[in-house]
Amino acid sequence: MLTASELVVIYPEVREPFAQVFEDIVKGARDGYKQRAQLVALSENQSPVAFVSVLDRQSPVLVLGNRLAREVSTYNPDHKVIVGAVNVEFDNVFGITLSPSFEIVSSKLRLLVPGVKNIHVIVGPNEGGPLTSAVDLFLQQNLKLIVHPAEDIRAAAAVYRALIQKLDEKDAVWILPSGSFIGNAMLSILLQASWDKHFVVFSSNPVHVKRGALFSLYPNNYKMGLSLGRLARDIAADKAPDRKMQPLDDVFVTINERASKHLGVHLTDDVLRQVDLVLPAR
Amino acid sequence: MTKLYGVSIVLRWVSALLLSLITGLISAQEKPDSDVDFAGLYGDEDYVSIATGSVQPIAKAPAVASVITARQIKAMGARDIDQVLESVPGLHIGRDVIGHNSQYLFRGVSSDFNPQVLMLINGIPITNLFQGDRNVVWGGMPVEAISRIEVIRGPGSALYGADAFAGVINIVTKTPDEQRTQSAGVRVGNFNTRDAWVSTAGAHGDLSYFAAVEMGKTDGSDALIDSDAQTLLDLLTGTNVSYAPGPLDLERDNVDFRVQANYRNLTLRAGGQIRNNWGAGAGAAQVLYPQNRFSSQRFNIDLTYTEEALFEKTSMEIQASYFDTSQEVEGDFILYPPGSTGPFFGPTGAPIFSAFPDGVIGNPEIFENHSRVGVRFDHSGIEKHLLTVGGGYYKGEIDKITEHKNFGINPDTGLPILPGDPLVDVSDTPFVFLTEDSRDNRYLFFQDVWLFANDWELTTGVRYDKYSDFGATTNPRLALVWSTSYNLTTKFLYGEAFRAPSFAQTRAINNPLIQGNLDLKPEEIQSYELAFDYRPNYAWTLISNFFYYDWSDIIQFVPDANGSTRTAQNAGEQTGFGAEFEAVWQVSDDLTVTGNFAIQKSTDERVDAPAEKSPEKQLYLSVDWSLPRDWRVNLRANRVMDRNRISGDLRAPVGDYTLLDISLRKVLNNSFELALIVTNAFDQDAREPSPNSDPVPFIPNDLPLQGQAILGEIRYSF
Repeated sequence: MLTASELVVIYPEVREPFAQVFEDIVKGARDGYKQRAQLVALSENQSPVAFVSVLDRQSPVLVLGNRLAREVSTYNPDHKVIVGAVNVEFDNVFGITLSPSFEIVSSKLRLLVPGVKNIHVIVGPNEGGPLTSAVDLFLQQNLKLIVHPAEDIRAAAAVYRALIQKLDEKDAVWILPSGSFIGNAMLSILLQASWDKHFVVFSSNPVHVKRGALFSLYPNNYKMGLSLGRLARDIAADKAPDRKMQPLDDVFVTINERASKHLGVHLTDDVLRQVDLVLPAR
Repeated sequence: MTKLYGVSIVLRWVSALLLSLITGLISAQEKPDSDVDFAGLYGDEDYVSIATGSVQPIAKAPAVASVITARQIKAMGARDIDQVLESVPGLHIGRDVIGHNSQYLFRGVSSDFNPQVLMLINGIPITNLFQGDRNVVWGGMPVEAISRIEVIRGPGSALYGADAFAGVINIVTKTPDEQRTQSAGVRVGNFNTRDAWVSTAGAHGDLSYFAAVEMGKTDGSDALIDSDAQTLLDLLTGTNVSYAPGPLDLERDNVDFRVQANYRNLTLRAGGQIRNNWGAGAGAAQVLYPQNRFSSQRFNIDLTYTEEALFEKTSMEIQASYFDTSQEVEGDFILYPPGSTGPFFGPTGAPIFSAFPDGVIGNPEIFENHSRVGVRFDHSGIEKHLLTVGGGYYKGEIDKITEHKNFGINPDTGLPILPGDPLVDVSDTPFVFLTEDSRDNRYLFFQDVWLFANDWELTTGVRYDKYSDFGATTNPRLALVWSTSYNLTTKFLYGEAFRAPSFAQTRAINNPLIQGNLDLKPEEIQSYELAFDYRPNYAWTLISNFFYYDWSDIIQFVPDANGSTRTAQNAGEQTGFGAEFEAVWQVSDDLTVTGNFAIQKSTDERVDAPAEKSPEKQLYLSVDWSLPRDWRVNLRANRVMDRNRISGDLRAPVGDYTLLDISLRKVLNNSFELALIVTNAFDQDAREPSPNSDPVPFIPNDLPLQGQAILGEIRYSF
């Protein structure tokens, strides 16, 4: 019989080396929760719904990964559910998404490339809302956030092509976690232009850094787990936060050495202290 | 019969694979939303390990360098580093007669014992003093404890000192961070191959550790040597005692271990390579004798202390290491079989002795130790410069040489030892084959990496080495790296290097044929390289480089005025030029095709003839395909072309060959993994050149490589 204070962590069973991602989150969650935790790894074809439905409704349940989070948030609405390692926000549950918070994005950009004044971001039809509300927040860091809406990938391509013509070293292009309609071909065009015209491209996908973007913010899995564990503790104590789904503050920074040298971003020791992974020049 | 059975196993696996592929594709289409889009977030699996912090990204030296990771090594299904190294462009693994020992042939540089290549384990040389190679009783090196292998083509003495000459092979072992579970595995296959390994890692507070033990036994090969040096002696003396035609003797009984412990700023590493029951290949005197057995015990330990912030913007690393090696004979080493007269002929061409009833026996044993201490400082306080300075001390010693033999001069009587006499111990007498001796080396080095414009980086390095026996040498290098465009990086490289004369070349005595020379200078090389790294899109990486080198003061055994002996002299010179082309095609997230082509023309300047042994052309192709349901297939084809005979060797050219290796792997779950590995899948008769000899080559039909081998492998993580 589970005690009320026990945290149940449900996460997908994936193979190495991806398993490391969930193990780091789970380790953080246990450390953050500080009480007993029960771990349940589910394989690809196992549903969490029946398992959760028999749990004590006072026990917090931390569910990791998109598939499990979607099922539990839909079918177990009466439990104290916290979700993590998810790309999108879910209704009726608390949790942390994989999207870095605007605060963290603006502060890292300011630190790494203080010369940038304008941030351009291309958004899909339903993405503009939260960004528009973030304009003021960026302004506090002296950064002008310019949102370019696009209906679909074709429209986005036209926006990118027009935008590329106008950018210089005072500009940065931000590729959102949702992808900002950027496919391989457009990414290639964008990065080639960023090299030629010395503007910055950054994202929250480390693969973009490998391909030539200046830097990327991506989850610090252990610390994200720690935050999820603390959130679960608060919820177990009925001290739920106001905002149900929160963006990610626990990030790693990876930077492309070749692009940084080209853009004249000098990797001083002070800067390197803020950077977790330098992708070496080839 | 065995081979037919093998083919039927392969066919069964292939049908299982196809079936699994088809069902996998169907299930992939039906799959709902994924747990997390790892491929979208991190790209390939290597990058996941880097991004999650379990593996450090590798900063390649400004050089023509290749890195092969543990994951790639596993995909290949390799059981020895040589299988991995064959994938490096411009590097071919030739074979020595004794023990089939690996000869790492870079860009046309070859010699008898291959001391022109520096092999490092975790940055520390494993070069032996005796022949300048990795040990006569080498026996290969297994791969389970290896994190990555870094290979630099071209000279690197400015950083690494002696012997970083034609190329540098640095084997980096796994760290505690890289392995999170215990793991074990077994592999069995043809030629009685039986491998087993177990590794563990863990952490307690500030202490973390990794340990691995690997055991490997094999009969090696059943390839036949048609005719050997005794065959020729039989012909000349009327005896009939040769074991040829007979199989190459490549029995191995190896135990390797690697340990690493990290505690705060300290790293302690230790390792061992224990070789027992080692078959001598086609023999030291190019004579087969199936009962000959050698052993070797090699142990290393090193302690490294790092201080990231010694002063502001200055880091320090201090390292001390010790390496102990031996070459030992198990029982007696029969140089020429019982009934042979041995290679002793009088002026008339008649044998001097009657038949040796127990054979001609020589049991040379060598024990070496190597101590090193070094320090380096990195300083980033000057804007746009990264300065490195360092220095160190090395002492190497052959501390014990023993020799028992039944030929030559008996030190007690001063008279020749005659056939039928018992073995005589000539250790510690003037009649031993090599003198016990030591050498030391003091060195200083300096390097500056200067980002003098946004896209231009100049690396300047120089190292000064002073040796107790052959004096001082200074070796510079320059590397200019230009990020030419978004897609293209261009490198201009210049380097010089030296190769320390081995003790066999400086201190060999009492050999009826060759004499050492204490006045030898080191061999030298100068090399110029131009390299391009072009990435037109995400799918393609194209790397090419062009090189020219001038190798001088080559140590060779030159005939003496007396007409019977040869003495080591800095006599040779070789020049070479060529190019290497590499392409990596990332067809999809799951499919990678890699290929490389290397071409070189090297000239023995002394006789103005093409250099021997190394292939002038090499083509390598590899396909690595991750299939649904955690299947993975890896195919590798290696074509070796245009190997020249040494000038004066009248044999037909060595035949070209193509070897195909296949590895099929299935991850059952996070605990179990199975693999089927087929090497030399088409059972090609591939051969490496045997040396020329006087009056004719002793092994005329070259050295055959292993035929088709099928191995099965099970891995278990717990």
